[in-house]
Amino acid sequence: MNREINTEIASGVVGLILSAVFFFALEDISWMSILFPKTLVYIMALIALALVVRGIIKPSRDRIFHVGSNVRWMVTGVLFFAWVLFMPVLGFFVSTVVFMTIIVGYLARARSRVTIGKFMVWIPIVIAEVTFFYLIFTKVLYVPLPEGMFF
Amino acid sequence: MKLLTKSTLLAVLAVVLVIPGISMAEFPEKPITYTIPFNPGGESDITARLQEPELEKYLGVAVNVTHKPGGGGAVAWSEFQRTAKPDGYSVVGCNIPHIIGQPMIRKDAGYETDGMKVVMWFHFTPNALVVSKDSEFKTLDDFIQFAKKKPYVGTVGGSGTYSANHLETIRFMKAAGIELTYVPYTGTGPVIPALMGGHLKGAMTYTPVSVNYKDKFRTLAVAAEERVPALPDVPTFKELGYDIVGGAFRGVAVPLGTPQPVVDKLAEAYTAANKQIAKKQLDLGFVMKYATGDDAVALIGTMRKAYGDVLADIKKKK
Amino acid sequence: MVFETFMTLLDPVIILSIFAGVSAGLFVGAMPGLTATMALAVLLPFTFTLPPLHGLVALGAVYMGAIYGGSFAAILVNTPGTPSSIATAFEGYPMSKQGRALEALSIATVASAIGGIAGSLFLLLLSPPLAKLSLRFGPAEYFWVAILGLTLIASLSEGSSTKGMMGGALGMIIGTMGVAPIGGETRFTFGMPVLQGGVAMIVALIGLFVLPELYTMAAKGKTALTAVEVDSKARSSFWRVTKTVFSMPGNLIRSCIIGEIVAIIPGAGGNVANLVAYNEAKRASKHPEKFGTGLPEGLVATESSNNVTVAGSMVPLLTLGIPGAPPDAVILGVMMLHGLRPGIELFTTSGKLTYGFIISMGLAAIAMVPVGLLGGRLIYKVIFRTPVYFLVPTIAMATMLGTYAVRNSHTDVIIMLILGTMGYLFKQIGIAPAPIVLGLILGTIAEMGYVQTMLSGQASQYPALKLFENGLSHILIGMIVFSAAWPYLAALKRRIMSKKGGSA
Repeated sequence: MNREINTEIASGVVGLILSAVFFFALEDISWMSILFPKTLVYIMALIALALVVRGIIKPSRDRIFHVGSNVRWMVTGVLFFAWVLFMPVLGFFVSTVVFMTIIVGYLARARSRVTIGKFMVWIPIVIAEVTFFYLIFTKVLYVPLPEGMFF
Repeated sequence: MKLLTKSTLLAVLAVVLVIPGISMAEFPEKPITYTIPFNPGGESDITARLQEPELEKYLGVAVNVTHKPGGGGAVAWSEFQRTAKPDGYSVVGCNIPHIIGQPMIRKDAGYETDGMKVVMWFHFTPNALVVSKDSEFKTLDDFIQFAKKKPYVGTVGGSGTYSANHLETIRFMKAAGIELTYVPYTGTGPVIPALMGGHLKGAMTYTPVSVNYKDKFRTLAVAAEERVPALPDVPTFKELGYDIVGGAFRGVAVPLGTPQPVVDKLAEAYTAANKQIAKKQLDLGFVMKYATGDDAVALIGTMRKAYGDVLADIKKKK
Repeated sequence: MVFETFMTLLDPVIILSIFAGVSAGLFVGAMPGLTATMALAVLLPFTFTLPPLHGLVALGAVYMGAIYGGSFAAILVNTPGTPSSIATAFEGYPMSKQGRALEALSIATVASAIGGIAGSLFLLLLSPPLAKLSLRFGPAEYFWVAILGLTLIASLSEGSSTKGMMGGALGMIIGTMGVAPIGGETRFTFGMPVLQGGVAMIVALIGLFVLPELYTMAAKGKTALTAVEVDSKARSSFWRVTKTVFSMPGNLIRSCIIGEIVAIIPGAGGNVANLVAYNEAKRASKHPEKFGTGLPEGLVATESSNNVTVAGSMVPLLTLGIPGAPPDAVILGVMMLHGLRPGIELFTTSGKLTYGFIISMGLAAIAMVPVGLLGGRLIYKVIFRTPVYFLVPTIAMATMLGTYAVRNSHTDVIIMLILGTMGYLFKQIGIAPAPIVLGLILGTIAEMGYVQTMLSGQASQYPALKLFENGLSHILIGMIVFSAAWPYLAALKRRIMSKKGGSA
């Protein structure tokens, strides 16, 4: 795969968009609270602009997203988000066991065929691992982990 | 899911209301989570750590202290009011004037001052005007005379904006008819080196600082009703003719709707713990409080009045 | 007195608590998100039941172990376990990729031990003058320290430093989210009350460093590490590594002094020290262009400097009662509960206790060597034997737990995921995570220093002049100018040298 773009223009544009987002979030509050963030937003916009200008004057291209399978990291990312968003519903323990198993199965697929037999091995390992961390956090460190409908 | 928990809660509540005698005999039967809305190491945390073993002794269950810092306490309080179950197993530390000031000043603090039930205010750290030991100011009057001659030059540090320190400085300026510059810091900790290093003329801080840094700082006056036990030689503002009493009150709260017997039981436990740790706390410059029930609510009212005008003034000026 | 105190420490209970403390600290430090502050807070109730010396010894050992443990995750997974080992990842991870993970772990261990011992020596011998120096930092000085720190961006950004600057600005803006440190109003909350708490630095750190690494592993379907060790036994042997570390005395001394100076500035700690030491090691090096490819020099600089800060930050704590870094606040709390008031009498009337505590931190540093070498090998084996499809979700779970535990906040975990995913995309277009994190660390310091200076100068016509009033400010400004001009100076020097070489 060969994706090449001008990363200076790209990062400049990203910077301008972010500057705009924060610029419109600036509120009319006392100078002590707002002076510094306001200055920073302007500075970031200036740097972003400089990047765009330089990218136009001296164009250069870099490869992006060239490592491995892009589908795979995106699916992994979606699974991460789902995992966390389900935590308050299912509880930390259940949500983690479910999504860890899914991610293990999904990533293992890249290397070899996934069979039911393999899951029979993986699931107990996942449960043991999660139990270990769950007990350390709740019983030793007294961290009240998200509870769902079960516990 | 939500429906399920709500209906179970209703059922539990119904049972609790109908036969309080039986069900209350059982509280508490599982560990209690005691949330501190600030970082570890602060006064709230240290106090909670002292209370923890005493509470466990009294209640017979584990009390787990956890921290949820952020937004000057607002993150913990808003989440507590939104999600905590009114069963007595979730307790949160709360502070005056934070819970009064934040909802007034911020556009959306995410919680209401009256959105939780205060079980007890257990101690009070009065504000104290402190200067460096080698400072030219020997008395409060010296300080006031200086500020009269040179308005705004008198820089007074303190913990946070709209905090007890800040509001007290403003009340002091009004009462004495002077102009000072209040410089906020993120907590009491950083104020101390700033004052020691001569970067400030004085500091409006809490009495434990006066006690702990006795050999480095001189306390000009304390904003308490009467002299603080650990600082018998320091006059109160009142004695000197300025009617300002204020500081930070610390206490604990439970969600609204927590059954009264549970609240009472918790109040008893905290009262017992408070008595046990009183000696240690008094030596550190705290003033013990035992405000429960209606007294606790009344205290919020009094302090809201005391600071309310000042806050409204600031808001108008903006 | 010191010798006597030393003998009291040879009590088996104390030795045991040192080893237990270092091991516990190591675990906490190696878990991204679990910080030294948190470990100390959890331990606090246990220490109430112990006599003051035992309690303080245990806490000191945990603190020492945690700062050191951060290097494990940095070396093996490219994730600083604590903010104190950000720069450790710059050299340690490339070494792991080359199959030199064990060597890197051993170097970090030895360097950390040296740093820890150096820190206790500073504390033992130089406390009073150092404490005086620390008091001279007022708001204006803080502002300049932060700006000086920002000049590090040039060396932290891989590739374009303009992109690095943009990352730094973005980091600072993210840092301003939530309640203003001065002014008290909320900013950039986008209507969500939960954002009043802002983005905790450590949450951003975890997201920006860990997630890109996990995504890369997932995309590749294998870990980036080379499992084949290049004659691992020989290279990582303790004596050989010790020799390597001691073969750079200049680097060690410089890094220890940097660590100590940063440590005594209240509010800055290992998180700043390791970056500064790394930067200076690079600047002093004969081959700065090789930094980032797995140089032991960089590792030695970061790991020695951050462990100096452990005892180093106790200088203002023990002499003045000012916590130099967040974990010190907890230790101050313990001291107050035992009725120990910081100040001179701590070194006189309760000298035995104080000196015992200081020396025990040195002992903890020594204890790190056996504990670290064993623990390091263990963690290394676990990470290498685990297939990637287990490693990715396991690290993800550990980071989620760690993030959650920072403030017991589910929202923080979501913020971590969002920032991390953005970080992966940013990395593609050349914006590295390090400058963003640096901006987050320094932004708050800069803002407070600036606004406080402006406030203190309110009586004068031009409050901004306050920024340039003190001698220390002038020194700092000089350092900033020098630091910013350095790349150009170095280029000039190279050009002159090459001309000379050409004509000869």
